[in-house]
Amino acid sequence: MRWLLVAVAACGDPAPITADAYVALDAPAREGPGPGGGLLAELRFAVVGDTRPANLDDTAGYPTGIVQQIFADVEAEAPKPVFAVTTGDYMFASTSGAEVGPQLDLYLNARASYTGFIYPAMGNHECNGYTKSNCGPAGNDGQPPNYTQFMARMIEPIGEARPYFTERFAATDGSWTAKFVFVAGNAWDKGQATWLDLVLGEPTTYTFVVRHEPPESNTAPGVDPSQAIMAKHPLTMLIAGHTHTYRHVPAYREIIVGNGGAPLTSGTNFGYVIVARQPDGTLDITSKDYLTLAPIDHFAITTNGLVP
Amino acid sequence: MAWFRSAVLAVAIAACKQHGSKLDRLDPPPPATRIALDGELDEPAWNAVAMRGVFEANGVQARPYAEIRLLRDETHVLVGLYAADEDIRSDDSFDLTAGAFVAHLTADGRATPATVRTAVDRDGTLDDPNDDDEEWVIEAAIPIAALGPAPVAMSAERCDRTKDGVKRCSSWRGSFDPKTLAQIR
Repeated sequence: MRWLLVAVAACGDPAPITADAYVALDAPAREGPGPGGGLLAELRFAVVGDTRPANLDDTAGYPTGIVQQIFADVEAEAPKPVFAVTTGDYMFASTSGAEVGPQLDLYLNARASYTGFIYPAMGNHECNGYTKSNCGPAGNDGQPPNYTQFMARMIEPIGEARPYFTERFAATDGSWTAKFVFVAGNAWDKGQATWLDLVLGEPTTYTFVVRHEPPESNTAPGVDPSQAIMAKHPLTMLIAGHTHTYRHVPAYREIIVGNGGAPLTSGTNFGYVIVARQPDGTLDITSKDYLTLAPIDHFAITTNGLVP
Repeated sequence: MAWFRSAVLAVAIAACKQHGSKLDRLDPPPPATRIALDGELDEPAWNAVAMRGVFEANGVQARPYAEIRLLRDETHVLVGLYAADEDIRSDDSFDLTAGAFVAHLTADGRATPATVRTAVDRDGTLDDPNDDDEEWVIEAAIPIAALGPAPVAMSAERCDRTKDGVKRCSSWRGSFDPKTLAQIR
């Protein structure tokens, strides 16, 4: 992987992504995570989601305390993960109401109990709430405040201009590379399909796809098309949410992390997941209860997502 | 400062929920909105002024999550029931007892006795275990005249079999005086 480090060192900070631009393989030549990715001594990150209240516009019922505790737990992990990915659904707000901003206020304040860098995936509630909804410039459901405020307050601050993006990481010693490909299944268009095929073709040691909806939730416009594209390329792990529980689905090389504060649909408690690369290159995945910190699940996978 | 008010309200509600099955009501007085009995708790009064209770099991918040909300109009107590559910089945149900009144309300919209009017909204597929469902919501109208004298002792119970095969039951218990419920025009 020396060639990658050379490329990394030469590239400097990435230029802002322009519309429909395709960025050739690189990882920002900076220590630590940031816009576009970065150089890391260790690959160790947290996964948190979904975080919405049970009822539409129920800002008073936002699960602030749970979200805050989960991110405080992540902050207290030893060693602390240097970045986290979130799986979507940060609000449950009507597109014509006034609750998008207040709910994002609550979420972002609660999220601030973790000081690492956070890369957020878009959920259906960042469109109009329906799983079948499709937002963005080319979407049938337009750009409601749920979408525009998500973009302005969560996506643009990490240096991205679209709800779908990739983050590229490389080991400081050149021993591995990783790409995190964030698919926006509720802002799907031909441009995203072309981009996804290109970016998944980049050779990396690890490939993580972060998409709000799992494969079964295929009324979301981008689920089946992105699943078909993913099938043509290597995959280490699909990280999803949408279902308000935690689950490991080996058949899809998938974890569902939707137990971040939204009303729980199963017997599993609220919690989060830590993914940590081991010296032998395998990934150790631990799902934890947010109150007891006891493991809910624990397993390992190889670079191709299989259980060794 | 809207965010600040929301944050204070959220903290207050979270603190109240620590005390278990108490119903929590928020001021100010209710907006004058008619509730459409459609299974969607989308009228502002459900969030702003309804009395609320969170279901519990073994002394902690139930998993799967469920909650109850109460309003009233001139002649009926309006009940909102929320059930998070990864596998919605036709016979999933709530059992309500309010004073002398007993009702059985199912996820497929059946209700007994016939004097209770209901509507159900489901986010998921009925009787299909091959996908992940999210939730179902019931709005019900119970005649106040059928409840008996105040205070009205009320219980709501639910059992759900999750995908791991475990039957999980939870409940809420409380009491109320219909006159103190927020009244919708």
